[in-house]
Amino acid sequence: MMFTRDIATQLMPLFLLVGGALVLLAWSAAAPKTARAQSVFAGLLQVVTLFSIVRAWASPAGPILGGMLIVDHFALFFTALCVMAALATILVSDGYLRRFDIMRGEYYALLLLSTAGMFVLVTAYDLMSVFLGIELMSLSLYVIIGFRRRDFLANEAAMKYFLLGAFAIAFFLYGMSLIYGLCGTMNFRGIMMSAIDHEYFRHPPFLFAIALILVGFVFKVSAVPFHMWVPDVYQGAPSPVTGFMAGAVKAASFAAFLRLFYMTFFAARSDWVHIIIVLAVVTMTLGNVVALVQRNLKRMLAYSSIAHAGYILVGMAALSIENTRAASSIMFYLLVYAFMTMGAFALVCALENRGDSRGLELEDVAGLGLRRPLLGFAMAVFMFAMAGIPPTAGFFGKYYIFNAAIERGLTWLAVVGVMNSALSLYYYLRVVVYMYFRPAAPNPTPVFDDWGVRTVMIISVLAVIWLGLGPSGVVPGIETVLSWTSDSVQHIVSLR
Amino acid sequence: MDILTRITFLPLLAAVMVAFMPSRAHKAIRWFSFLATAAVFVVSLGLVREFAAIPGMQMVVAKQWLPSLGISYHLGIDGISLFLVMLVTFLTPITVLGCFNSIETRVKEFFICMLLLETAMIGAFVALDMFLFYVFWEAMLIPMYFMIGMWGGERRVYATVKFFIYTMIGSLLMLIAILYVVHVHKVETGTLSFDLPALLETTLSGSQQWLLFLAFALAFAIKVPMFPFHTWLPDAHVEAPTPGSVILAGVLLKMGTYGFIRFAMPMFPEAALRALPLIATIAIIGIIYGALVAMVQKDVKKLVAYSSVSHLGFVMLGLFALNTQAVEGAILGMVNHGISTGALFLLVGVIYERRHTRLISEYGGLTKVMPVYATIFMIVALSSIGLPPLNGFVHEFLILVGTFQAHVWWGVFAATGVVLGAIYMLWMYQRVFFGEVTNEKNARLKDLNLREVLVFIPLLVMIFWMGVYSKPFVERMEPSVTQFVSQMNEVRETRARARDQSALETQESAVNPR
Repeated sequence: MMFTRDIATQLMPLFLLVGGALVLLAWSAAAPKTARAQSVFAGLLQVVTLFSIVRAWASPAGPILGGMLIVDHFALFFTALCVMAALATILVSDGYLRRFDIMRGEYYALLLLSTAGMFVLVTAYDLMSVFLGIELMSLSLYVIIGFRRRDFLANEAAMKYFLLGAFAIAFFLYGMSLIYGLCGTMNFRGIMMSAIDHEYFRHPPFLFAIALILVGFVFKVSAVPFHMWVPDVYQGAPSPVTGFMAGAVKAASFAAFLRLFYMTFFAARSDWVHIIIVLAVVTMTLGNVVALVQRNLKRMLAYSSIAHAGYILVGMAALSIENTRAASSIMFYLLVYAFMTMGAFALVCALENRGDSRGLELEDVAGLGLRRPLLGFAMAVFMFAMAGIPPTAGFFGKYYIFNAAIERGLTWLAVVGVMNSALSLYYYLRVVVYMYFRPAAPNPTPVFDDWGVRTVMIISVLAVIWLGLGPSGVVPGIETVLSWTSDSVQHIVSLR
Repeated sequence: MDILTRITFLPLLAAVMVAFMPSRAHKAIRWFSFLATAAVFVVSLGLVREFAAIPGMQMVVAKQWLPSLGISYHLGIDGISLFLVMLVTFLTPITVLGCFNSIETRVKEFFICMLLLETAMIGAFVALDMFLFYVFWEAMLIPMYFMIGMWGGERRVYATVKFFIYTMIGSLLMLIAILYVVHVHKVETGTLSFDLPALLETTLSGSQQWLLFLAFALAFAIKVPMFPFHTWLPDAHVEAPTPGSVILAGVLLKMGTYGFIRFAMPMFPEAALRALPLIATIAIIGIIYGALVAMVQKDVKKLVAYSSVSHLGFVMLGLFALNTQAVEGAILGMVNHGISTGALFLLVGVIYERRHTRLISEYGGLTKVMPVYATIFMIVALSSIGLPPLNGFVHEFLILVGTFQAHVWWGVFAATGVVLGAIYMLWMYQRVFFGEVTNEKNARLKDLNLREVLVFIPLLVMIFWMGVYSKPFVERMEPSVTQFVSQMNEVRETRARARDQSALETQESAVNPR
């Protein structure tokens, strides 16, 4: 296959990210004390990557590199999401790393590599690329999760994520090998054609393979029953990284999950949809119920992240070829969730201080809303958005997913979903209660909100509000974003 | 810009302006908020002037908002919502003026909440797009949540979270019901639309209607609140600061009854008729239960709160009696309750500001110390009881007349509620105001000052005006009400005919077995 200019344009984000990571690695080896400059470099690189995504958007999409990758709008949407999340992470990291005295260049190199892995994952058009993407994304994360290496919780987190992640990916590999054995190909379309030709969709080994692959994805998107790592890892990892995991890793994993199940395995929907429905119900409910009793802010957000995976699984259960709304709602939700969660974790980063190993408790935000009106307001908006209250984007995302479920005839699932939202209200409101209705402690936790944290929070707040009610105009509103998502989804459908 | 948009978003604009004022400038913020809300009232008078007494929606605004999602910016008012919008714009400046002294901390935040709340309330009353309505309906919760939570009493956090979660559970089910109707409508006509007039045309099967109606009814019944969903109300009222209680009782509760008449009943008429005995029963239970519980309260504010349960039971009963008098009475009842109960909460707030207690036993003989206050309280209490020629009498009379026509026993029970209402109110009045001044601390209480008197004058004017000459009000709402009633009755007759038909068929098949 010719390596044309189009392909170069399409893969430019990957080149930039990997190239940048290599430069940073060499740089930090040569001049280890320049982490500050490296963070600026990494940030600028992400901005450039965003521009390269915009350029790639216009180029014709089709499988490239022998059907290994496909850089379509769907992939670029998620790449943009992950790159923005990485940019936000870089912005909030600087102050945090310095406070915890773990400022090293490798941090940014690994972050870029992880983002590159996400690019591979979301563009994957072959099970092997999915595997490579997941591994590249995760291996880099294992290291930066344990970046506070003298901290017991951080070590536990890195170890747990690594071991369980390896275990889960082994299931995925096993499923892959079964599929390769049956179909003789690992290309998404190849598998589908072969399965249709041989009528594998009723064939137990093939279904078993789907189930094994499902395990791998369920682990990565942090859904029940493979969620046990989430609270510990979220708590132990440096907070910027936690935000990155909640915002970007989940989105990238869902992207590959969605592409594979919406395209290749869709003909077997009647076989896997029941599993997804059960997972959705259990994930939402468990995430929300356990979050109710959390007093540690990061653990609370971890369980809330599990619950949000559950809402998105409702969208997965409602997928249909004729009506692309469900798939489009998943994309919209992940975008919104990335903004909400990155914003919330930016505040967590600003509050966390070296030395209190117990982590951030609810009491630590007491009185914050009045002490720091802007930060408090932003956090309140994120909490209301996560709970799904209009006029925020969180409401719109939920509305869109439940709407898809109802159109697919899954009204009862939507009812379970809204009941869960009602349940989640309690713990999201509790943060607001502490911020506004409780007096601050006599010597309150200092807030380290450098300009990076503030930028992330302000942009997230604006996005969360605008994506909740904004009509399209100069700034892309809900409709523009939804037209992007439904475009992308149409393209996936057209590949079938 | 059209008048409805102007009225709806003026307070929001004012809120944004307040946000940029220095937070120490308490006086400026108070006066600015008052002037802004008063300006909204003045602008809203234009509504009354332009309003024509014809059925159907007027001053309609229909603009695209999110066209690909079927969501539009559709506003309009009719004879039903006109008075509720006026109630909001009338009550808000009074409340703002009334709380100049009672809110002393975080003044800026408070008035921002108040102004945001006004936008959301007006928006919910004028929205004719289900999505838009839902957004306003939910958006109302947030400022109220902060109002109770930040400026409330001791158990404010508990009360405000309870209030929020209770309301939210109902509304979420309603959201699902809205989505379901929209879906059915889309399947039927092929267009995606949240527009209320379009959705009213949707044909739904009996069981669909029933479930959807229940989802809507739950959301609205919690808001009204109807027995047995009323338990959030006493907590919220007692803990809320005075202005919060005034708005809560004066306007927010009407959202529930308004929801029934605007959405739940016209959209699902058959289910509404099927639920009629059930709703009438719990409305009657609410009337009597609310009154009995109000009687034994030790706290004046709690007494007024429970009296709301009773009064709104009346309104619900009137709505479901389904004849012109009763429905008109119910709508007047919403407005009157807003005025009288709003005034009562303001009055309770006045002594609370002075003594920081609301227990009945702490008072006694206040007529001697605060004669002006006692007089005003007496008038308002009598209006709440429904004594002619005050406003309460008009709506209670209309509801009772209508209810007796619909069902004699309902009328009998409802009339008991009126008697009980007189008992708890007058008994409380007697204990607080008559007799000797038993408590030393009450001996030197100051009577109302000029600002406070000014607060009550518009309320008293309305109390007398609506009691003596309610024709202008009834006249304007009549076409809309007649339309509503005739639509509901049409459905009732069709139902009855269908029932006769099927009964006839069963008879026939019994006579001539095939």
